Amino acid sequence: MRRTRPISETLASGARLLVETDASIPLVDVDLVVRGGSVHDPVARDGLARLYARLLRRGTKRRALPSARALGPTSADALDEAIESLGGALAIDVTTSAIRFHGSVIRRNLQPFFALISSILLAPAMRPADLAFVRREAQAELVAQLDSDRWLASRAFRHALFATHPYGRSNTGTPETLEAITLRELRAFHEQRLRSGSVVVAFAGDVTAESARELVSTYLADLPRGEAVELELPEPRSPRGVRVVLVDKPDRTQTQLFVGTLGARMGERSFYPLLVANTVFGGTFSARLVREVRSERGWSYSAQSRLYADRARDAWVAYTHPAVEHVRDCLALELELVQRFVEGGVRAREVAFAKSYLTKSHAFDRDTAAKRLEPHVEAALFGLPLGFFEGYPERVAAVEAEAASAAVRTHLGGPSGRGTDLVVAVLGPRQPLERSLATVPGVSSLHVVPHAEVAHL
Amino acid sequence: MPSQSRATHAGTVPFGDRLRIERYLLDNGLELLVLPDPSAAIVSYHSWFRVGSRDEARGKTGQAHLLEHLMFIATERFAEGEFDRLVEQAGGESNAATWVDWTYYYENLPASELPLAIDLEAERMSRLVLAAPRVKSEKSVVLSERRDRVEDDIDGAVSEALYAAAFGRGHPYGWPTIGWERDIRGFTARDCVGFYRKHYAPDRATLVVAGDIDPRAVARRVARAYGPIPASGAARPLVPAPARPSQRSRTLRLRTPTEKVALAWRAPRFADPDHAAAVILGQILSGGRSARLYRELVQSTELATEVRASVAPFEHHALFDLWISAREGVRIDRALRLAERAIARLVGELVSAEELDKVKNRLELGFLAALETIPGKAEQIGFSRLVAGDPAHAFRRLEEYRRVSPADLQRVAAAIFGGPRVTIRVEPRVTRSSHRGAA
Repeated sequence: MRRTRPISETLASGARLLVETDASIPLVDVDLVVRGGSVHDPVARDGLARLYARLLRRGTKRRALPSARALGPTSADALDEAIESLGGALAIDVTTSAIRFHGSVIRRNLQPFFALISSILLAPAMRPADLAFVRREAQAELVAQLDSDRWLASRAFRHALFATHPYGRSNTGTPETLEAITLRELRAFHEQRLRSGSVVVAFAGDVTAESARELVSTYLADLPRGEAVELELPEPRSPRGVRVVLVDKPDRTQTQLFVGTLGARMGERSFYPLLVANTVFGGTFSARLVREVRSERGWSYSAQSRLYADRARDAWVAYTHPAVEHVRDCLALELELVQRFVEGGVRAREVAFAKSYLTKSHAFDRDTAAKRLEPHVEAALFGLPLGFFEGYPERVAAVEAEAASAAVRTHLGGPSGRGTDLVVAVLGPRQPLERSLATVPGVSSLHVVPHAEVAHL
Repeated sequence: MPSQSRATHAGTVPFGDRLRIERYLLDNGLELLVLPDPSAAIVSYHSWFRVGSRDEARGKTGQAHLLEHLMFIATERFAEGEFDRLVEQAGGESNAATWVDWTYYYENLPASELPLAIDLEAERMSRLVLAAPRVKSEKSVVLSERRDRVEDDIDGAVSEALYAAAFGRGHPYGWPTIGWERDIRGFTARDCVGFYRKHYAPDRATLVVAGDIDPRAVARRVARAYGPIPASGAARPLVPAPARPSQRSRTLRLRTPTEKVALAWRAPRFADPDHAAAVILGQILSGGRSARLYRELVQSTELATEVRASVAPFEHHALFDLWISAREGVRIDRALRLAERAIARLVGELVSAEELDKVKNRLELGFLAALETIPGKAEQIGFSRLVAGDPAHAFRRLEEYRRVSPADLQRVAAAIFGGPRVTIRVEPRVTRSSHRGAA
């Protein structure tokens, strides 16, 4: 195998370079990651980071590729044409914590491909017409999202759980906030966020550390110097009582049901115990939630729970999609399962099973160069020690049932300590759901939102 | 051991420059394809069966898919829930998929756990337990899946209508793999047992084992586990030729804010070299941000939010389909007219060498990405063996892409787009008031 150990180094500019070489396939994945994502969107400017990412693809100020022909090197069309002609693909993803350019390219074209994406990052044109275009595009996609029931319910869930906390904002923006964002704000965002200390460059695949260093020193030489701008994130507040948000969408045969609360901060002591406990609850096909909702009752094809991890406490959420006629009983059952989870904890046998699953399946988190590099990218992003994720199997293996149960009580117990402080988002027809859901034992409030209004949250 | 436990080495097939597939045959007809690949300490174990929704009967649609679900429940040796529990305890994951021509099951496991996969899969190939209460609850799960993918999903509802219109509701390629709702509700445990006995047998299957493994050791172990299972001897029925389609058009009124359209034409089957040209035509229209229709409909005129074209990879008959989702307030016919013009251009003009090279590079990227992981390689091998007859067909397909010329594209475009077209329009059920803030 032509594979070496991963390289991780801080360049003279302050940017972090990560390289994982694996020459088994002539393919290279390139990630250019800028720390700080949608949590940096100013108040009433939700979607700014994402609009910025869209804007970057609209063209560059300078010639991006010496050999570029046809439409001219600075136009959006020329960039797209050039990227795809090279056998490359580029996606720009915005999360709460980062703006991430993810590229893949066939090995022989790595150099011009990297030159292109560097130009997109360093010298975006950011013209008024470009902003007008991406604003219309973003607004049209918000309308298109009304077709996605799962997105609507998920968005309503996060809005209800995090309220005014930055995690509660929409990283796609709303029609109103998108309309309000100005070119001046976007240019300021570019100048303030793009600092060498904020940038992680990761290469994975058929590339050597030497050639990666050379590419970075050649094409990112103009990266503005400076430290990463960190944002102090407040801790979100736990919900009180069981608050139901019903997203009214007529003509549905099934519902989308999200039940959850706050999870744990990445890096805190109880993170791994909660991860193991979540696996017991809804992380595998053998988990409690799947057994109760899918296997025994046949109510929902999908049944899973997930612990989101970020710098502040993100969400822990269970997801199912029962039919309209089953959602009342399904919600009652899930509330009972959560309460039992909090009050009864997890058994040693369940923890042993979850640990076995998580530690042994770790092999699949490491079967490609890009996956092997990902923990290093995440550590750099979240400001964690470089080797933080290296010890994943050992940290999971060290979790005992007592610690897992304690983590569930601490994080999912809520102010009541009983697991009865939860946010529930249900998408489905208002009639008959409004009346039936209000009668589920434990529900303390129910609020109805028309589905078309979710895009405005 | 009895003679049926023997695995005979039946050849070596190169899988690219670096890897080799070792082929074995058991006396009961089971085919075993082993790809040693030490790039990660894992194994991917695939069981591909020559049974799909095309093997069902009218009134019993969705049977192959329902059985796929039931294959995870219980066997004579493994009680309910044991299958998933054992795989997950070993750090593995397991799943399955059914389509018109095939059904496959896989386990991805740490390499040391290969014996577990062999044990579980050999067991459920011949000793599945199909109890009435579990058939009933699993029918509910499948109905939930159907609601999720069809009833409450615009794409799924349109796709179902498109295939039914293109092939006819009575043709095996025209009914949905998940089945019509009424058929799903009607299944009994007896139906499931009958389907299982008829179609699940070693001579209807190909095993693919890829990963950090020794082929001879795998072959010995597979022969011991599967050797005693008798062959079915049943021949697979041929797929009838679909009736010559007529020009058809249908409008669905669904809960959506924007108009949409889906178009379909008959296309060459997957193993036909012209299928490669059809894939390239789809890429020229909608593969990536620089593709003709994406650029024209999404970026230049801003009439649409989404456009995509694809060619179904079926064994006997395929479909070329095109989907356009309009922006709010845009009549879909405006976008459709431009799409028709782009299609006419494919028939009337030669594609430039530059544009063709771009698409070929994109397809090469997709080819490499599909082979990045061991499970990805196993899937390619199984699919290629069943649908094209060649486990290394993915590499041959790449060569076919490279050989396609502008003249080939024009010829295939004329053949596909010259045929009858099926059109499914989607109109919003209720006209929504203007989206606040939208331009």
